[in-house]
Amino acid sequence: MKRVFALLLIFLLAGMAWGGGQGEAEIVAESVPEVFTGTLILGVEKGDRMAAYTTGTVDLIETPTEEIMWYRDVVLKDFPGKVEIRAYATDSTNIKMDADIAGGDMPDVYWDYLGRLNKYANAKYAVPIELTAEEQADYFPSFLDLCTKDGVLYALPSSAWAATMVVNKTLIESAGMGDILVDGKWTIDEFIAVTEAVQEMYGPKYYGYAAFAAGTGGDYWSSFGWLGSFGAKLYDNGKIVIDSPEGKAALSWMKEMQDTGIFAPGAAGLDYLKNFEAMKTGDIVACGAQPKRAQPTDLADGSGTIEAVQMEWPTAPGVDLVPISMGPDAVMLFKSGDSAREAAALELARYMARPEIQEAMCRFERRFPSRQVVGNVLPDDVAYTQGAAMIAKHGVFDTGIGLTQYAEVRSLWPPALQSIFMGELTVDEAIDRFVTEGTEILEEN
Amino acid sequence: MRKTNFTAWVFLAPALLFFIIFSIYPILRSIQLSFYDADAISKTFVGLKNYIKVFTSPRMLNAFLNTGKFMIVVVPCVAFIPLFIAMIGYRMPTALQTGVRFAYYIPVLTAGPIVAMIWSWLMNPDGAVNFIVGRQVFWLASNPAAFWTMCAMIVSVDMGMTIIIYMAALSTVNPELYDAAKLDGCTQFQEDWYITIPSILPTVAFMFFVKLVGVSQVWMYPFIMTGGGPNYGTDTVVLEIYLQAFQYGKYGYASAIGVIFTICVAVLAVIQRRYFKGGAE
Repeated sequence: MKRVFALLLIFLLAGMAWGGGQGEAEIVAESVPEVFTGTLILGVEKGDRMAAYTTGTVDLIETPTEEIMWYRDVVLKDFPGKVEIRAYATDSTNIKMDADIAGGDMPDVYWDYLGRLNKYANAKYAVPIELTAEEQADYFPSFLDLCTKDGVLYALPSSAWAATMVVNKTLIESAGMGDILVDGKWTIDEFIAVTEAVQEMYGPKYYGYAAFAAGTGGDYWSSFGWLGSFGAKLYDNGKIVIDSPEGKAALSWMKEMQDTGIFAPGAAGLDYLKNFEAMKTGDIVACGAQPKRAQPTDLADGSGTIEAVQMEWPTAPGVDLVPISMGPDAVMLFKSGDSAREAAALELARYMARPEIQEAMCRFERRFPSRQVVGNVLPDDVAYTQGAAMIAKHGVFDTGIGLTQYAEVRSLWPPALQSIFMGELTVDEAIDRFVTEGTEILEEN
Repeated sequence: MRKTNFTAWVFLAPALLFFIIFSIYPILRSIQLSFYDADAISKTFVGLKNYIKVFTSPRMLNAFLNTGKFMIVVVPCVAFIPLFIAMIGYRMPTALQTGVRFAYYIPVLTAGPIVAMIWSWLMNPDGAVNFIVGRQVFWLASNPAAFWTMCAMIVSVDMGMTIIIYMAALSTVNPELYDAAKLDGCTQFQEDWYITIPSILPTVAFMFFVKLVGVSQVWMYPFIMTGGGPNYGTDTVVLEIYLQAFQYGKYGYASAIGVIFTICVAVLAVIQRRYFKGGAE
C-alpha cells in the first residue's frame, strides 16, 4: 500500500510539474461570428468614480450633485452592447490584473490611471489602436505620445489632473509680500524672499514648502515641479536625463532649502497625503496641488479660513517655462484573440473616451481634457482657467508615465530624494545611483 | 499490521494531499520559476541569471543585510525578554498573572496592519511620542532611527505569545526541585539559574527557533510604515520579494530571491538547533 501511495504521489507531482511547466498559453483565434453579441467586461479602478457611477452606487460620493447624477446616467447608458463592470481595488490593481491575465480572464477594456495601465498598454498585452483623421487632429499630441510605444498607439488618453502650485495668500499678504502674487508668476529668489518675510513675522516654524520623499505618490506634487523650475528633465525620449547640470542644480537647491530652514524638515518621512493637508496647517507658504485646491481653506485647528490661490512654479534664472506634471487616465483593450470581440471592445473604448465623458470629468473633478474639442469646461472658475492657461503655456513635464517599467523606475526616486535630504548621499551620488539602476531597468525590457 | 497501515494512510491522505498541493507544489514551482524571466503571461528560460542578479544587486545585498540586522537585534529580545517577564509574572498572584498575560497578548490579537498604522501615528513628527519627548524627532524619517523604531515595535508586538508559552512551561517545572533547593539554602537567583532556566530550556530553544524564522520574514511593518525606507534603511528580503513579484511583475526574479533566502534561513535554523540544546540536569 505504501508503494502504491508513493507511486501515486510521484505521478501527481510529475503531472503538476509537467502541466505547470508549459510555456506561454497559445491564443488561438476562434471561428467567431462577424458581430460580437456577448458581454464585454470593462475593468475600472474601484476608487474611480466611474465604478460608482456605472454601478449606481453613488454612496461613495459625499455630495452627489446634479452633474454627478448626469455623469452616472450617461456613461454607459446608450452604449449599444452588454457591458459588465469589474472593479479593481486601487492598491492591488496590478496584482489582481496579473492574476486575471494569467488565468485568461482579463477584462476586454481597461480604464485606469495611466501610471497603472501603462504596464499593459504595449505589444504584449494590448490591441493597437488606429485613430481616425478626426481623432488624430483632436487629441493633444503630448497625451497621445504617452500612450504610444515604438510608434504604435496602445491606449486612448482621457482627462488628466495637473500639479500646479497653490499658495497661502492670507499668510503672504500678512507678511507684507502680497505684491508678488499679482501676476501669478514669481522667481526662486522671490519665493525665498516671501518665505523669509513670513518667518521673520511668525517664526522659524513657518516654512516656504514641505517637500516630501516618503513614497512614490508624491513625486508629481513635490520634486518634479522644482526640477522644472530649474529647467531640468527627468526623462527625455524614454531615457533618464536627470544627471544634467540643471538636474543637479535643482536637487542641490532643494537640499540647501531644507538645510537653511526654508523647506520644512523631515522630508524623508513626509508623503503626499500630508502635502494635500499642508494648506490646512496655515504655516506653509506653498504646496504642489491641483488647481481645485486654490480656494478658501478652513484651517485644521478651526481658527479660521485662509485664501489659497494658484501660482506658477517659481523659475530659476534663465528659465522661462516650467512644464506641468500631469496624470491622465486612459483606456486600453486587452488582446483576446477574438477579432469580433476586439472590434466590439474597441467600440466600447472609443465610447468611454468620447468628449462628453471627458467634459463631465473635467467639470466635476477639475481635470484637464486630452481632446481639444472639450475646451475649457469651467470658464467662470478662475483657478481652473489659470491652470489651463499654465498648461498651454508651459507644456507637460515628462514624468515617465508612458514607460512600461514606469512603476519600477518610479520607485527608485523616493530613496534618491531621501538619501539627499538625509545627507546619506551627495546629490551626485544619489543621481548616479538613480540613473544607473533606472537605466538598467529600462534596458532590461 | 497491513490493515493498520492502510487505515493510517487513509486518515493521513487528506492532510497530506492538502500539504502537497498548497505547500510542496508551490515550492517546486517557485524553484522552477526562479530559472525563468517570468511575468503574468509568459516566461523565458534564463538559467542562473536571476541568481546572479540577486548576488550582484546592491539593493538585494542591502536587504539581506537589513534582514540580518533585524534578526540579530530582535530575535534575542523576543526570545529572552519574555522569559524574564514570564518568570516575574509567574510569581505573582493568579489574578495578576492573568492581567500580565492579557496585557501582553493584546498586540498579538490586533491585526498587523492596524498595529503598524498605530505606531506610524504615534511616531509621527507631530505624534504622541514626540509630544512626550518634547522635541521633534523623525523616528521614521531618518536612519538608523527608523530601524530601531521598527525593532522596538516588533519586539513589543511579538512578546505576547512567547510570554504565554513560557508561563505555561514554567508550570511544568517539578516543584519538588524548588523544595529541595530551599532546603539546601539556595537563593532565588540560584533557583532560577540552576533549576528554572535549565528546565524550560527546550521551550526557550524552540521559541528562539520559531522567532528566528518569524523575524527573518518581517516585511509588513516596513511596507506599511516606511515603504522599506528611508533610503532602503528598513528594506528586507521578503519585502523585496513582494515588490519584485507583485509591484514589478518579476516573478522569476522574486522566486530566485525566495529560494536563496530559504536556504539561508534553513542553514541558520540547523545551526541554531544543533548548538542550542537544553534540559535540566
